[in-house]
Amino acid sequence: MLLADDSPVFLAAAETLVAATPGFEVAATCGSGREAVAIAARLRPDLALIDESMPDLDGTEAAHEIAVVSPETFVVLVSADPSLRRRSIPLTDKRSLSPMLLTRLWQRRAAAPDAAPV
Amino acid sequence: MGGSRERAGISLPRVRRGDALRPDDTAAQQGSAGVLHSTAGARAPAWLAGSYLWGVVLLVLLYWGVAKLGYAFGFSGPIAAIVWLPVGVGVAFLTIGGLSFWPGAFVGDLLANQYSSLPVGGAIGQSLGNLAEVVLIAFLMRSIIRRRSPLTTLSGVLGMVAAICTGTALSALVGPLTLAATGPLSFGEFPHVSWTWWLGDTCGALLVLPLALAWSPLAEMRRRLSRRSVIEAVAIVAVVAVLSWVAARGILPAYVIFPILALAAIRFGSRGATTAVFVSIAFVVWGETDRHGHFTVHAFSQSVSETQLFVVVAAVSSLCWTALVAEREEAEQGLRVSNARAFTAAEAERRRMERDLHDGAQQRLLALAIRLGLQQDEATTPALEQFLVETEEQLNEAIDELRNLSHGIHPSVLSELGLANAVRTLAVRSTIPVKLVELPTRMVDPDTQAAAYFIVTEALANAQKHSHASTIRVRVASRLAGLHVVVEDDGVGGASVSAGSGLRGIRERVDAFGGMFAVESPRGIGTRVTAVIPTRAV
Repeated sequence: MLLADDSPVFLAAAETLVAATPGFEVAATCGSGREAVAIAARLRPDLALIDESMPDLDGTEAAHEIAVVSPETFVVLVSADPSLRRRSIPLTDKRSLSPMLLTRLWQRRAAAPDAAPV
Repeated sequence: MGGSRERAGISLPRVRRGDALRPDDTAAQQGSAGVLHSTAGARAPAWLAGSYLWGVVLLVLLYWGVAKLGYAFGFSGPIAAIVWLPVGVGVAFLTIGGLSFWPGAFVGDLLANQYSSLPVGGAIGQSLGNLAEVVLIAFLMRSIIRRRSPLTTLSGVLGMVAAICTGTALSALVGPLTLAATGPLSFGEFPHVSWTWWLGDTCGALLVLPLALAWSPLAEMRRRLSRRSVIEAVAIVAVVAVLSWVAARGILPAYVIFPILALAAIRFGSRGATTAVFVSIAFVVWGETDRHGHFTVHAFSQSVSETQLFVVVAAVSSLCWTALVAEREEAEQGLRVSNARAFTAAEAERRRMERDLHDGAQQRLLALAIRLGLQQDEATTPALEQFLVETEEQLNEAIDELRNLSHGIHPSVLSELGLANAVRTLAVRSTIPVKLVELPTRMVDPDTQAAAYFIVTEALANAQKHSHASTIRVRVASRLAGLHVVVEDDGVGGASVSAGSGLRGIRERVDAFGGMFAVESPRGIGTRVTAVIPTRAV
């Protein structure tokens, strides 16, 4: 899977989290929305964990572009402060991330393979 | 200084462009002494030569016409005048248009001479004296005028008065001396003719020059007058006219005019003051000539001198009031600008702090929460598990506190969501139900937006703390003039700006933007906080 966040500290923690989750493997990490789109186009990851607020391209915009360049990628948008939501796109609170949550998200994806990426 | 930077409409229409006086900011930047960029006539491009000629012709006509007017209405005679307006016309033209128009004043003066009652030599000498006077005053004026109209500062006004008195003194010496030398005047008459001459010319210059400066495009920024202001202006002019007429008839002493002249200066700046003085003097002089017949210097009377002194005193006082009002307004404006600047700086600082919090501490705590979560299942003893659970709880509290803090420091919600959504977020968080009556539809600049957001935040916080209301109604509306913010509740009322620092904070913010702010809070009925924040050009 792909991890994109402009905070290196959080990125490192997320990497540890994925590494500790059985069945998941970090394919790439990056610090911006643009990079995330470029890497997704190249690596076609199964899952992408993308921070909503990033300087160049925010998570929602990156998700839309990834849906075009790599339609099979399942995008999960995370945020440091989900109370700042806009447009009705669901954001996952960064602090609730856990191996269990990742596994559940992936199961949901497997159950509905045609669902639009969020 | 190339003609390309010429601002449209600064110079008189028929004036040679390169020679026109203009308020110039680059002059100050370069530390140059003034704003005068006179180019020699010979260097002017061919197409300008035509407009220069027209300028001279225009000046001849104006000068001659105004002189004739003086004779026709009997306030000037072949020698001296109660009020010699042509000097004002000449000085104004040369000051605003450029010294190179001097031939216009000279020809105009020669044409205006009454050769029937003057020897040709005396008339030409007198005209030369008048020319020297006009050029000297205009020269002094052009070296006084820096970046702004001299009417906007007290030193400018006093400088102008000094320039006028100096120049008119020159004419009042040269003219009568020439006439005494060539015959029509005896040397015995010289002192009082010279005195009357001096006062008459000074009156003329003091009446016309400020009027022209005030109404020329280089004067203070033009304010758009509301319908009410127009009515007020007309009313003031009418009262000035009536009082002046009454005074001129001798029904009331002349000084009854002063309060209304002061009012004109205070309410309508240099344009109001100069116009009011002009109207007033016109009536007073008319009354003078009406009572005593046409003015000739041989029929010189005490009342002529009094009228002249009245004109000088009225004009100078009025100009001083204008200058003081302008200086005060400028000081206010400067204060507003520096307030707004301080506010913007504080705002930028808040934004930076918020970003630092969000990118730094907040991310670090979230990373910690994830790492801690990973270790929870690994706890080997119940005590360790208990410790981990408690640590996680506290960590979550820290994250929540930090989130609230960063919302309070700077509404990053604004940059992320826009004002309308940010206000919605506030409404959702409120402990008292909030009804959003109206939300802005158009984008406004970030500072205005932030100010509006803080006003809603403070007003809502105030209402939640003190009002005991059952509902709060919030309206944030984008109008042409700016953002209108209204927060009203149906609580206990009794709020005042002095009592609550929250409301005072709002007042300071609104003031920094030059906006309007009001709190109505009748006891037992509720509180309404209203603010209008003018939108700035982005």
